[in-house]
Amino acid sequence: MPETLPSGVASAIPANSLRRSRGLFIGRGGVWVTALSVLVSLLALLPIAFVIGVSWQTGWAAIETLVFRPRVGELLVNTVLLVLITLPLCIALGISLAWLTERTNLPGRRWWSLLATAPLAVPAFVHSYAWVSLIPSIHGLPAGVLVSVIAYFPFLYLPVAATLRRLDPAIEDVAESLGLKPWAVFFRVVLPQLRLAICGGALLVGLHLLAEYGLYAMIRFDTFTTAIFDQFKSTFNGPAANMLAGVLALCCLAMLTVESAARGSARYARVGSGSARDQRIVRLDGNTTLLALALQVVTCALALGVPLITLGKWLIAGGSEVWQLADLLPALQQTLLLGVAGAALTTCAAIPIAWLSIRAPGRLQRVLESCNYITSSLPGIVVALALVTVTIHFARPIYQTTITVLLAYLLMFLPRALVSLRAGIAQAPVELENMARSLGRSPGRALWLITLRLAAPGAAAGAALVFLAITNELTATLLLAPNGTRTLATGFWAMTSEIDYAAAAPYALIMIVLSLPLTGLLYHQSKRTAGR
Amino acid sequence: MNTLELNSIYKAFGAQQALENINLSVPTGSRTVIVGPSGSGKTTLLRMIAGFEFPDAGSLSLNGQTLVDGTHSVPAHQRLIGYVPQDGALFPHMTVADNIGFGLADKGPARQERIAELMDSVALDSTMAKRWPHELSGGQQQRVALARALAQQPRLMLLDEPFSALDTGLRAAMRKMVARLLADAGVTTILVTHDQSEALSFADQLAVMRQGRLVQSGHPMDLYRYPDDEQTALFLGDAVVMPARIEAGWAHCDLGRIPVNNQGKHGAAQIMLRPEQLQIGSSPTDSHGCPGVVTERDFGGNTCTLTVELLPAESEPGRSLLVRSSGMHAPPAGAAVHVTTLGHAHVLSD
Repeated sequence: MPETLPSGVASAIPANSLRRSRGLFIGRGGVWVTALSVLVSLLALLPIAFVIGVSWQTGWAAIETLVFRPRVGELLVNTVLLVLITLPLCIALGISLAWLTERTNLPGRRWWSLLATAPLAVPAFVHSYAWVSLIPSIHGLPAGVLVSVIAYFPFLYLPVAATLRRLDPAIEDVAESLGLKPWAVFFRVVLPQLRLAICGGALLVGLHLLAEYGLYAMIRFDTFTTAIFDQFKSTFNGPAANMLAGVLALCCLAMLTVESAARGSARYARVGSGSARDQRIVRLDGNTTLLALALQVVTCALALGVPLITLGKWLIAGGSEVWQLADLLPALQQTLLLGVAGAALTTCAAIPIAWLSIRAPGRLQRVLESCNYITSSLPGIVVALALVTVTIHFARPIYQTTITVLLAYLLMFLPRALVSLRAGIAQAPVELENMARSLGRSPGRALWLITLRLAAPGAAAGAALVFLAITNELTATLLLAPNGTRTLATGFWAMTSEIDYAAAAPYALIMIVLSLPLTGLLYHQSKRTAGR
Repeated sequence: MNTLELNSIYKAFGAQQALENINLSVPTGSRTVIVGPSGSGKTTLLRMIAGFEFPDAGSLSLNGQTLVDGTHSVPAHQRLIGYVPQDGALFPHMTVADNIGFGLADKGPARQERIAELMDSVALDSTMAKRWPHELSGGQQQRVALARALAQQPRLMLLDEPFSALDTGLRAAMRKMVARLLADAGVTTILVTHDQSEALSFADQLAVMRQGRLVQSGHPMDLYRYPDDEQTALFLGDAVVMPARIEAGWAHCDLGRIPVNNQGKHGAAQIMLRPEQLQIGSSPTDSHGCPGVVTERDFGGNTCTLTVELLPAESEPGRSLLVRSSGMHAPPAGAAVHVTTLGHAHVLSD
């Protein structure tokens, strides 16, 4: 045992700069991290500030005439009906498919599970395009509900299936031993435990219903988002568009409130460690199996068959002519560039908040995080309008530049990066960093060798999610991109606007191919949360 | 000579006082165990020695070098103190060999040799070098964590409940192996645990902590036999505590007249006996000792713990005592017995 000290000990440093309490580094580093988090969160509040600001400027009298008119009432009715009809259908479909693939002996259930996730790879407006080209007369609320359900039900399927896999099987055994019939066990014990998954999934679907432009524009169903877009295109930055955006933002906030109330305060995590057994599998009889298979087949035919067959039909009809590489390649390149830059920017911006939320959780960090979540729940069109207004008035040099587009992506997709990054940093508990320090590594080296290495996969997953979201982003890009920008999504949109469906097909195909990894990633993650 | 000196250490987390006036000397080459219930501040103290926490007041020195005082602090990576936490905290992205070699400055072939040597010393098979932490059992993970901490030849080894996640049988075996290994290496060790039997068997110096304070320290046998107060007595094992009147080296209590260890004490006091100091005789002819009835028999294999209710004397209700008996000859519940005592009773401080 050496009695002498390593040479570095002579440079003992002041205790105050090192003072730690429960893993929080309250030194200069900590202050910087906090400052950066506050900065990012303030930026995230921009769209909300915009909504409040324009309302203030417009004045109550003008708001009254702009908001309380039949047109707004019509849009409100459309939007509310769309949400009220689509959500229960999505929930019912999501739970049925999840239960069939997770808890029954349905033949090929692993494949059905993958196929139930796959529709996510098809951008919503491509679903719509497929249906319009299949049935040109399709329009209005029924069409809106149909396409919305098949485009968005995986958002419910995924969390519900993951939760079903994770539930403690012993709880169901106990319920049955207390005299409950299988159906009663499902409704009184299983379904209540799915509440968080259902709430979370339904919120995601609801926000998409409010925010989506392309899907509804294509089938001529007017929602707030399509109306704002039209208004903006015809009057440019008029108070009418801004006021509609205000109402839409209120709808989103209302939805957030309803969801958080619906969550309740009951505890859903396992109280104990639970039993390690596998879930019990229900044996379906012949008729039920046929019925269940029919449901899977119909869902797959509608959600995957229709887009793929239509796309194939257009690609064959268009032949090699539609592969205009002179147009396609620049669009692909621009999409990739925006995607990579946006993903890098968003992931970097998420680092300080993710860091705080793991290493120094507290009230400030929770407030900062919720700022970002609220903004990302606002439709792209509201974020885009906010950035148009703010850049015109306060930052003219970046108006209609790539910087503004990237900023919009940052505001819209930050939580995607945040969630994965946080999980990544959580993989590297501060204890491991301490361990490295006790083995003679300086704090900086310990951070590099342990925490950053362990958080890297999480950061990469977050960046990939953001990248793929950007690839399929239409609304904000249409509104904010500088002249001459053409991404895959806007290129596709331009072609369909000219009713050149065949020329649009290659764009759609490339977007689907680019989205496949995202779908794979989501599928994989949902399996992993279940510990498989 | 003392390796580690702790002087008047104070630490608070917000309004919560975590450590209060901790003074402790750890002799070179010794095995000191800090024992206390959860939340007593023992882990905080250990983390402070490692350099992960800093005291609000007080000082800490190792081999004469000040590690922390009011103005300066040596950072953790310059302390050369080994640390093995409860769950091992192996780096999940490194193989067993890389984990063990993490603290080695050497990069050449000598490194591989040293890793093999360390693995051998903790009885890990050399084929495990390429394994990943998640492929190891709990006991193997702890061995790797120990080898990793030993690699840098620490001046002091800190063990934070390293055996608590292991099965009972494995726990005792690991404890023996670690004790032997550290003794062979001559490394001064501090172990933190809430398990009193582990503390008693591992320590050559025992320190009992309660609510952020060090209530008593010394040789484990002394602490077990002569605890300062009832709480410490009960924390270190089963005990029979009863009121007594002390006169001229004898305690007069429900068990009759028992010699006490503290000759200077007089008047009313609490005395303590360990259950193994009580013996029972069940033969009806044997009238020696205090009469009572077995009310409960807790069979535990080699020993049996009996609850004996003494027959009421005067106006007082009968007192219940715990008595150990060999499993083979333990009388059944309801049997009439006589209780006698062995050795001295210990007089607790007021």
